[in-house]
Amino acid sequence: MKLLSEIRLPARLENLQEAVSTVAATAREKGLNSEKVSFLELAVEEAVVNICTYSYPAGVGDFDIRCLEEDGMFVTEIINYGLPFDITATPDPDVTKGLEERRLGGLGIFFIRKFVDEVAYRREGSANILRLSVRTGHAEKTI
Amino acid sequence: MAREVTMEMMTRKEAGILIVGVKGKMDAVTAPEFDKGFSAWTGQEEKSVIFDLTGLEYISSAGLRSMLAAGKKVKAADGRLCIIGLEGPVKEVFKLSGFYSIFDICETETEAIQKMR
Repeated sequence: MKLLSEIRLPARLENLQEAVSTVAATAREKGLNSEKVSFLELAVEEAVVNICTYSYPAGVGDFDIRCLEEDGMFVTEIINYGLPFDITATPDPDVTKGLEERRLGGLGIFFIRKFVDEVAYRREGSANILRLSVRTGHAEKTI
Repeated sequence: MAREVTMEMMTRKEAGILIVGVKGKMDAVTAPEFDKGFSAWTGQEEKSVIFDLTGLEYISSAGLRSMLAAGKKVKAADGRLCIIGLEGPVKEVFKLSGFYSIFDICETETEAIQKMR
């Protein structure tokens, strides 16, 4: 396991761009193709938005983003210290419904699951760790 | 770090249709700007709307949520909405979200205008 980049930011939407750009820049340096980088950016955005919106009901808290290289995977760990929330345990939205029936929202977590190769969640002490892994090789994920 | 240029929104009218061009990034930060921009539309003048997403490089679920809200609004006003200019990752995101079955999607503005007549 090799740490490639690490950043800590206050959990506010104004920091979204910086969080996403940091991951994207690290992923590009490691040679991920532009499609994989775009999808990873989307997954990271969804995770960070969730943290900024829900993790700290009192409104104050930080999140960390760590990019790691591990066994042919580019791993992004997104860590917050607020309310525990296992995104891997939520159901998918129904993406076959028509315009009138479709609910606004609910797609974010679905995107996280679809856009990276592996998603894992764990809680360590007060830390909620979301781990998004993308294969760095040429094997493509079909979405 | 300076924030990159994120979203540009331009509107014009053509053949009685409102054409809204969106370029750049539609994320959780910029999607509310889109909502604000589109809130002026009431369906009183141009009933039909085209969203031209040519040059939109990125859309997250927040952007899709805005599209969905706009779509519901147009439908409620008995208008028609067509989306054009989908490409790259944005196109993939639309497919994955099932938005191809929700919206009318056309390749070009001419095709969309003809379809709406």
